[in-house]
Amino acid sequence: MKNNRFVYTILTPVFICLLVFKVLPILIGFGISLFDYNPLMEENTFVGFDNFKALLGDEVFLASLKNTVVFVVVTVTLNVTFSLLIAQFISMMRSNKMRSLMRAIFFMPVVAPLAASSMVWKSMYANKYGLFNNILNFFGLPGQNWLGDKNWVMPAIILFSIWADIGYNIIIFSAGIDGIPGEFTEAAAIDGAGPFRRFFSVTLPLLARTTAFIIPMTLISHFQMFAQFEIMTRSAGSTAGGPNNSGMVLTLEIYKEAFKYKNMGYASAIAVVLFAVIMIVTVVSRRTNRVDWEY
Amino acid sequence: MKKKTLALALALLMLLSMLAGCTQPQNEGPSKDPAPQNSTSGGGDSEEEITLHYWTHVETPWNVSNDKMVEAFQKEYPNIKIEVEAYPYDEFEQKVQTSLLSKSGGADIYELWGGWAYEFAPTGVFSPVPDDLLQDLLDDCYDPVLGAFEHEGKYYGVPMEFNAEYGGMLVNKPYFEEHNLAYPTTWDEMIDLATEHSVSKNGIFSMRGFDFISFDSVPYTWLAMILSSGGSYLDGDTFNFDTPIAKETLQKLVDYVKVNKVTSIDGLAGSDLENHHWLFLGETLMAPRGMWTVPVGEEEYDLTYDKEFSYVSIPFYGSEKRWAAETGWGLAVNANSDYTDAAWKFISFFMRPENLRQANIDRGQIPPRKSVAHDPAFVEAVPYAQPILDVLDGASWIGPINTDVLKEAICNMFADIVQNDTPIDDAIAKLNQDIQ
Repeated sequence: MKNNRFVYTILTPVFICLLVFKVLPILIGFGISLFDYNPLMEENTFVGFDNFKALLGDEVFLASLKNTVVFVVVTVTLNVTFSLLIAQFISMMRSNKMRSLMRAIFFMPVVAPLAASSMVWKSMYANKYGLFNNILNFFGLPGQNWLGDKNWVMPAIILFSIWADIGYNIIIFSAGIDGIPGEFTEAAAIDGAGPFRRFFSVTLPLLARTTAFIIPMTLISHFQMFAQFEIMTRSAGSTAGGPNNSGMVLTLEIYKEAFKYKNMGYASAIAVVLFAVIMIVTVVSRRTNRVDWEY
Repeated sequence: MKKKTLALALALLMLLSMLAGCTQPQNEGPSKDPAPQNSTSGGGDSEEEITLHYWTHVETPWNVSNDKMVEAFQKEYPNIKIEVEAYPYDEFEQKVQTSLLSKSGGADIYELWGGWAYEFAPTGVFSPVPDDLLQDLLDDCYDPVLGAFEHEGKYYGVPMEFNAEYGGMLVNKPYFEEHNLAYPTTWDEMIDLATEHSVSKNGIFSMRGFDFISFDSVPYTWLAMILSSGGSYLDGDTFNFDTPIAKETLQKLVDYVKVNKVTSIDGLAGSDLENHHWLFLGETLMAPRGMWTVPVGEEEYDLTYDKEFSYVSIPFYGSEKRWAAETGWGLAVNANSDYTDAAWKFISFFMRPENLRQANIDRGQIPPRKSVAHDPAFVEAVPYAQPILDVLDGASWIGPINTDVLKEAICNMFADIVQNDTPIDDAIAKLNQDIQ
């Protein structure tokens, strides 16, 4: 009983914090989505689900939804695949110092603020004097308008996002790989399994717990990415989103509707949709990757 | 036991700090000074000391000018202290908006962009302009500078400047001299010159003949082409671009990019530099821009005006010298301020012709008052204002809309036509739909 009182006392502030700063804003956000809400107005009209109905006919919203899904699917797939391969490659290195150095190198972009590295990459993508076009020109190839051509905007941002975020998953996968008892791979090697067979038949299955953690976490964080879209798709003096909204994603659309056009009810409706999408994807992902064994 | 006590103490500390964080400070509202008040609208007439908070954005010439204005005001009204708070431009709009939303915090006096004022005016967050000041301004100001501050016959802000994004253009003076060229006096001359001197390879320009591609320049160039041709894009208060003149002029602009190749679409898609920057870098021959870009060339690029670049009249497309202008920067008073009368006293002081003239000179702005714009002292101090001063009477207010929305819709449409070959009719139909 005495112990319970202690636990309640310790947890109460945390739960209050969660309630006030996490749960309540979500509920209020859902409430606002039912209004034609402009906080400057004295009265805001209750419109029910009209904001949600309007979304179905909104070209910009549909483009943002499509772009968000494409970005998340491509980036998360590439991120998880490459981070796993790189982590495996690093774990195969014999020198501890070399392993630490490689991990540090890959982790460095994660430490840099996303907004700052977005600015740097934006200058590297510049039409004129940009690093990528200079390299292409060096080989006699024509430069591309990376952030100004609707066909290149998303690939350019995906490449940057993978560079910026891959280090985190490499560290997690590395820890997972290091945690697999050596006996399993040694036994497989004695049975004649080569490096590829050992990786696919031993390492990969035994990393299922790590993968079950990494996939939903990466999905959630990528659905919420904002800074690189806001910075890299903004032309001088203009608003972000890229040509033909090719770089418009849900987070950017929420920001634009809420703070540029002051349609906070509509922006909240988009936020509710994003919340629902993340919720569904996370639940499906967790169920698919469920692991009920241990070693 | 020791550990439990420590953990308990930390938990209580967390709870207390959280509660403290959630509690609104009592003195958060505008100018809630401890000094007693004589009236609810606080005029500052008595000897009571009051403090007004004045929010502006960071821009060196503006900040220096504000300091001078405040110093002069405080000499005349020693009991009214003004604290100027300058915020970086990128966060200034959000800061203003958030403070107005809270209805209890923020400033007494706001510097305000006309485009924002248009949305704020109907909400009652600003105090209406006092009658005597209003009448003075209505008599002496150009129409475009007041448009966005008006709502149902009342005005909720006053203009500090005439925001002219058309009427003048930056020119690459060394290039003109080196090639023995004269500044164009007709539209056709200008386009021919631009076409002849533009240089690009694989879509990358080393010289843009006429760079009208920027968030401001595309809309204002197009609107001026429509108006100068005798056309209109307004049916009463409704925007309508579905007219033969609007389509013809839009097609011309598209051709300048795709056929004449006088500039690239990068300014709306991908580039981090606006058109005036390329001119200051020596890679543009002519660029239609507001006069405010002249100090940018001088201060940011360390260029000498009239030697390394110049600012001249831009020829009109049609036969009439008509163009559109939006309401630019102005001043407004927080309706929730305890000292609205004192705040208006400062603004009235600011708007006195002699004070306004000095502020406009210091900031490189076109004056909103006719009397100041035609004051020889102003023209002498800001010689590069002449091209715009010559055409001020031909300006009309852009119309009742958040100008950011209009400009964004026009720029998106233009980029769509250039990049995707969208038919002009379809693009204009979509534009009309987007801005309604």
